[in-house]
Amino acid sequence: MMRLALQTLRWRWPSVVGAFGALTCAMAIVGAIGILGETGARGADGPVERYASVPIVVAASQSLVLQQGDADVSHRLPERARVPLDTLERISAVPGVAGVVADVTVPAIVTSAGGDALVAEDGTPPPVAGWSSSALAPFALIAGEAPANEGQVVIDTHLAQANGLGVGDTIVVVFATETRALTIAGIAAAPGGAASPVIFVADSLAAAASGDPSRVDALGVFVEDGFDATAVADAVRRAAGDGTQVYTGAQRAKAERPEIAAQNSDLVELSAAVGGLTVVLAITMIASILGLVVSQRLREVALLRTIGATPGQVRRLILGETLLVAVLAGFAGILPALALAQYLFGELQPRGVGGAYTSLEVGPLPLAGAFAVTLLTACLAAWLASRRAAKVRPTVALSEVGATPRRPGWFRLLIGLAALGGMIALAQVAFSQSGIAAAEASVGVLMTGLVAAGFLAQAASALVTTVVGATIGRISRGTGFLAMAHARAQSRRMSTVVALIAVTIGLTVTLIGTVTVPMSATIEQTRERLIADRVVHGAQGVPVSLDERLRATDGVAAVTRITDTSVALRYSELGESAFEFFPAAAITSNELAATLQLDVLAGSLDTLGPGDAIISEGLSRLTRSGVGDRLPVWLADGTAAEVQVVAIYARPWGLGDVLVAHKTLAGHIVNPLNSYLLIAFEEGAAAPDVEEAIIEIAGGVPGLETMDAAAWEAGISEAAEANAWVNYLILVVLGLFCAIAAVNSLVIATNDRASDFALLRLTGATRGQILRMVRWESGLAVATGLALGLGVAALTLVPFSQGIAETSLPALPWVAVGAIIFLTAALGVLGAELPARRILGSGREPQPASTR
Amino acid sequence: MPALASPAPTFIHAHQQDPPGSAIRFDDVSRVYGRGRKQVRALDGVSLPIPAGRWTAIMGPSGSGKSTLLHCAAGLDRPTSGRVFLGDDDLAAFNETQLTKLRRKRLGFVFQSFNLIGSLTAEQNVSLPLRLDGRHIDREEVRDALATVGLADRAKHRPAQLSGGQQQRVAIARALITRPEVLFADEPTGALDLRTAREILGLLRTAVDSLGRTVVMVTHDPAAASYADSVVFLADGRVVDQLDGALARAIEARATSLEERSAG
Repeated sequence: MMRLALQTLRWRWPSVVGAFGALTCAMAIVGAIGILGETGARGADGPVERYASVPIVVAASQSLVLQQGDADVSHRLPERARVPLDTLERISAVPGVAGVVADVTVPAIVTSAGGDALVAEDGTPPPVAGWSSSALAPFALIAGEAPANEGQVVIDTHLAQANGLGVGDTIVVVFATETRALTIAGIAAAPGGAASPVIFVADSLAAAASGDPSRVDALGVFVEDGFDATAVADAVRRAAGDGTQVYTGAQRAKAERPEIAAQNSDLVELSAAVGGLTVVLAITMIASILGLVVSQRLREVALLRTIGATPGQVRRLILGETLLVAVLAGFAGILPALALAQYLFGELQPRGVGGAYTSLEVGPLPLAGAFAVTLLTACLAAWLASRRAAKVRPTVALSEVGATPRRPGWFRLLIGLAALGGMIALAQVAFSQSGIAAAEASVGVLMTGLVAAGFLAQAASALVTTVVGATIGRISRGTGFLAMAHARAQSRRMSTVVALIAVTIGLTVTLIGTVTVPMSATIEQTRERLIADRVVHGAQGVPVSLDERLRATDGVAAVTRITDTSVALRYSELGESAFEFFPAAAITSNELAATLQLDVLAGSLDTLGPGDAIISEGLSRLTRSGVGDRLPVWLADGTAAEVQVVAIYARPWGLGDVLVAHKTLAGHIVNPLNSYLLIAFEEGAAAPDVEEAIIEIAGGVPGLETMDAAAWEAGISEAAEANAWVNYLILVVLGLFCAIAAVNSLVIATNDRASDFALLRLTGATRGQILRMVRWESGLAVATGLALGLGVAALTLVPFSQGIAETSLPALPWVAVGAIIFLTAALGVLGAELPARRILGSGREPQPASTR
Repeated sequence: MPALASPAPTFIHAHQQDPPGSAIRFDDVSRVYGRGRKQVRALDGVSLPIPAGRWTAIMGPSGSGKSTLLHCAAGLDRPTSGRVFLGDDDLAAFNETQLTKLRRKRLGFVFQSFNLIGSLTAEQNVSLPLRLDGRHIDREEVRDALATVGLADRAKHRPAQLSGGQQQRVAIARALITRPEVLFADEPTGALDLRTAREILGLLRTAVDSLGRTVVMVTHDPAAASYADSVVFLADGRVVDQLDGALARAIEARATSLEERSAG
C-alpha cells in the first residue's frame, strides 16, 4: 500500500511540496521559538566575581508568591527586592557559619572633582558599595588604606587606571539623596583583577544612601573549615526563611547580577507568549493545508475503494504518507529553525531580551517539541481528513465528476458563530473594564477571533459567492461566470484559502494594533498632559538635591519630580482573581498644576501625602474603588502596602495608573535617581535667562539634559518605537509564516485544477480566459479573506482602542497596514496565477482527459 | 426517453453523386513522438480528404494513430510534418489562442468520457462555448438544443446527477450549439451500453442528415462505425483502406484482419 502511495507521489508533487513547505515552516518557527525559550531558561548569569570568596549567598526572592484561586502563583518583581537585616543574625547562628557579610550596593553618579563622569571601560557607571562587602570577592588593598570615615573612599584599580586617579585625589559621588565629595584613601584589586569596577565607601554611608538601612542587597556566608558547604547551605536556607533565596556555586551570579537574570527571564516570557500563538497558528495552518491535500484525493481514494481497498487501508495509506512527509519536513526544518533562532537572538539580545552573558543554547528538547507538534498535528489532521475520505462511497469513482456543491456545514457555521459571539463578548468585557490589561486580553480575543474566522470562512465564501456571484457573472459573462460556478461548487477549496488569508491579515493587523494603539495613546496623552516649559532628565539619573536648587532659581515657578515604577493590585476579572503590576509613578504633587494637566474626574490633587494615591479611571473601574477607598497594593520590590485613593484621573498613558508621593516609595525602588523633572517658568519670566540658569545648575551633574516639552515628547516617541521593534520582529516572523501557508494553500488548490483547465481548454476556453477565470476566483477568495481578517482585526482593535485611547478609530500605521493588505492580496493572486500558468504551459495544446 | 428514435442506418445518400468539398484535408501528415530509439511514428504520411456534410469513421487497432489523427485535425496536436487544412485554412498558420478560438467557433467535440464541467448545470454546460466566445446566449436556443437531445427536463441538473447516456447527450448538445463545421467524436459510445450507444449514434446521424454537419468519429467498434457514411482504416500510422457505405459485417471483417495483422 505504501509503495503504491510513493509511486503516486510524483503525480501529486505540487500538493506534496506545498504540504512539505508548510510543515517545514511550522517546524522552523516553533523550533526557533523553543530554542529561544530554552536559551532564556538556561541563560548564563555571568561569572561570580564580587561574591567569589563566599560559598553561599543569601538574597531576597525576586518573585512574589500569591494565592490565586486554588494555586500559588509566582509573579516576577519589577524592582530588586532586598533582604531584611535581621536575617543576618539568624544566619550567623547556623552551625558551620563562620561569618556573614552584608552587601549594600547603591546606584550613584560618580564624577571626578572636575565633574567628568567616572565610568568603566564599557561606559557603565560603577556601583557604590559598603567597604565590608569588599571581603566577599575578596578585594585587597594594593595602595593606601580602607575608608576610615564617611569622607573617604576606596576605588578599584581598573577605575583608577582608566581615569588617572590615585590616593589623595577627590571624587564626587551623587547619591539620590545627597552629593558627597570623597577623598580616595586606597586602591583595591580583586583576585586576578577580574571583577567589574566598584567604588567602596564607609558602610554607614552606603546604608544611609540606600534609603532603607534595615535592608541589604545580599548576605555573603563564610563557612567554617570542616563543614560541608552544601549542608550548611540547607541549614542557612531553613534559617533564612520565606522570601529569601539561597545561592551556591555558579548560581551566586544570579544574586550578583539580578538584572541579567531578569533579562533572561524576559526571553523566557517572550518565548512563552509568542510560542503559544505560534503553536496555535502552526496547528491551524497544518490542519487546513492537510485537509485540503487529502480532500483533493477523494477521487483517487474512491478508485482505491472500488478496487477493493478497505476504509482502514485508505486511512493507513493517507496517514502513512502524511507521516512520511511530516518526518521529512521535520528534519528539513531543523536547520531553518537554528538559523531563525540565531537571527532572532542576535536581534533580541542587544535590546536587553536575553542577558549579555547568554549564548544561544540548542538542546534537543525544543526541536523534539517542535517535531512532535508538527508530526502530531499533521497526523491528527490527516487522520480526521482520512476518516472523511474513507467514507467516500466507491461509486463516486465511477461517476466522472465528483464536483457537486457541498451541503453547507451547519456544524462549522455554528462553531464559527459561537466563537464570534464569544470573541465579541470577551472583547467587550476585557476592554471595557480597563484599558490597562487590554494588551494582554487582546491576545485571547485575537485567538478566539482567528478560530471564528477559520470556521466562518466557508459560510463567508458561500455568502460572498451568492451575493456578488450573480453580479460578477453578469459583468464577466464568460470567465467571471465560470469562476463563480466553480467557487459555488468547490466552496471547500475556496474556504481554505479564505481562512488562511483571513488569519494572516487578522493576525498581523491586530498585532500591529496592539503595539501602536498603546504607543500612540502614550505619545498623545503625554502631549496633552505636559504643560511644563522644560524637562530635565539624565542618562544616569537626576539627583534629588537638584529640585530645591532649581525651585530657588529666579523665574522658576514649579518643579515636579517624576519617578517611574510599578505598583501591583489584585482585582477580579471575569470572576477570576487576577494580580498584575501596573505602570505607576511617584510625583511631587504640590506644584502639579503648573507642570502637568491631569484630567481629574473625582477628588483633589492637592493632598497627595505619604500613603495616598491618585489612580486612573480604568483602575478605579477594575478595582471598583472610588475616592476615599483604601486599596491594598504591592510596591515594585514586593512589599505589601495600603494606599488611600484621593483622586481619580483619566488618560493615564505615559504616566501611570497609580500616582503616589515619593515618600511612599522610599527604600522600595533601587534607583530613585532614575527620574525626570518637569519645570514650569513663572509668568513673564525671560525664558532664555531661566533656561541658562537651569543649564548652569544641571551642568554640575554628568549626563543631564535640559529640553523643551516638544523634544521630550519626541524622545518618548522614539523610545516607544525602539521598544516596539521587538514586537514588530515577532510580527513579521508570524506574518510571513501565515503568508507562506496561505500561498501554499493557493498553490495546492490551483494545482488541483489541471483537469478542470484541460476540460475548459477543450470546450474552447483560451489560455487567457482560464487565467482570467483563475484571477476572478483568487480575487474573490482574497477579497473575502481580507474582509474576514479585517473584520476580526476591527472587532479586536476597536474596543481595545476605546479602552485605551477612548477613540473607536484605532491608531494604526495606515500606510504599513495598506502595504500588508496589498502584499497579501498580491501574494494571494500570484499564488494562484503562477501555478495556473505552469499548468497551462506555454502554448501547449490541451489534451483531452481520455488520452491521459 | 429520447425524443428521437434511433433511425435505421442509411447507406445511400442523395447528395453522394456530386462529390462534396473537403471539410478537412490531411496533406502528407506525419506525427513523431519522442527521439532516438524511443521514437514513435504515430502518423506516417497520411493524405486524406474528409468530405463535408458526411460522417467519416476512423478505425484501427490501438496504437494505429486514430486519436493522433483526430487531435491533429482538431488542432489539439500539431503534425511533425505535412499540413492539415480546415476548409481552406492551414492550421499551421494559427497560434495557440487563434486555434482555441477557431476550435470553439468552428469545431465541436464529443469524448468517450463526456468531459462536462462538474460545477455547471446541463444548460450552463451547453451554453459554455457561447459564453467563452462572448456571444449572446439565447435561452430558447439552449433549451431547444437540450430538447433535441431529449433532455428538456434535465436543464438544471448537474453532470453528477445525470446518467452516462444523458451526460453524453449534453456533450452533443454542447458540441452542436455553435453550429460547428466539423464535429469530432472520440469513441463517443465507448463508455455506454448497447442501447444508449445506439441512441447516441442516432443523434449524430441526425446531426449529419438533418443539420448537414460533418462528423469525424474515432472508434474501434464496428457497430458504431457502421452508422458512418465512410470508414477509414488506419494501421501503424498509415491509411490502409477506405470503405464507403460498407455494411457492418464487412467493417468487422476488415477490422479483425487488421487486428490480426498488427498482432502478428
